Amino acid sequence: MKLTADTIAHAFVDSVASLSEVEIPALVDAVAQLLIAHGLYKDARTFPSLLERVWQKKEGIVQVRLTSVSGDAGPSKEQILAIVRDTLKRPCILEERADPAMLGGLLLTVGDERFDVSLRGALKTLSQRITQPVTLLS
Amino acid sequence: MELLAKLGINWQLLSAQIVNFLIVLGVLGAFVYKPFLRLLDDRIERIRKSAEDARRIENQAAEMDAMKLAEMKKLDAESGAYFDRVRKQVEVLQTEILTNAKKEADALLQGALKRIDEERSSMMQEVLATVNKVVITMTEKLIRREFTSADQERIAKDLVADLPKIVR
Repeated sequence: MKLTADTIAHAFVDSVASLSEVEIPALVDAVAQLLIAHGLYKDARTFPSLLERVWQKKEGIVQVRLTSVSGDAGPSKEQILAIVRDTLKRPCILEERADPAMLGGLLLTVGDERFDVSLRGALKTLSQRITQPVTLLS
Repeated sequence: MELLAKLGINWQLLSAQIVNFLIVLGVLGAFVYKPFLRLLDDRIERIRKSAEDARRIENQAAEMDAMKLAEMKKLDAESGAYFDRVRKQVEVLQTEILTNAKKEADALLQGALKRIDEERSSMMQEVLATVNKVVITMTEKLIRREFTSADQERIAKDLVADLPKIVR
């Protein structure tokens, strides 16, 4: 069986629950050596975020990502988080991101689902409608 | 004799003349009449042969004419059949050439129409791309200028209002 970053991340998350805090650094070192030993250099950079995803999945935590132009969605972010938590009835973690290219509006990602109410998204839809193939009557 | 003497005929002279006549008749019969008759017969025979030859030649000429006519008719029929065959072949060839030419013309026409459609479609796509670029750029500029924090708040409120319906 080929060892991948994903299987190492799952193994790490499974093991870390049974370890004390002092043992965790040694486990991190062991994981880093394992990645290097299997030539997974490219995955080393993204490994922390992979760990986070695996951990959240294991704990049943839903990641709610809210992207806005400024990176601060204001008072509505708490409302959004509360609605998602109440609807899904699962623990949620909110992550805010800034994307000036959005022009305005919000982009909400709940797990694998995306709710795009950004102006950039609206412009993209408009652009797709304009460039749709046109049938000409001859 | 006396009677002859009374009639003034000299029987001796008469006898001599009769003898002379017989001699002349014999001589003429032997040396003139028979050769003459033979000459006549020969001539008649030659003329008959010539006539026969002429008739035979005439018959041969007539036969030759008939043969020639028959040959001509046969040749005419053969050449007619040949020309018919050639005409049919020419007609078949002509039809084939016309069919092929029509097919090629149709293919060329279809190719040309397809190319025209493709070019028209490509041109339309280019026009649409340009229009799209202009519209999006202008809208983006307009948004940058006109979009306010109040608009941002309204969008956030709308999202909050719609979220329970869309999150599952």
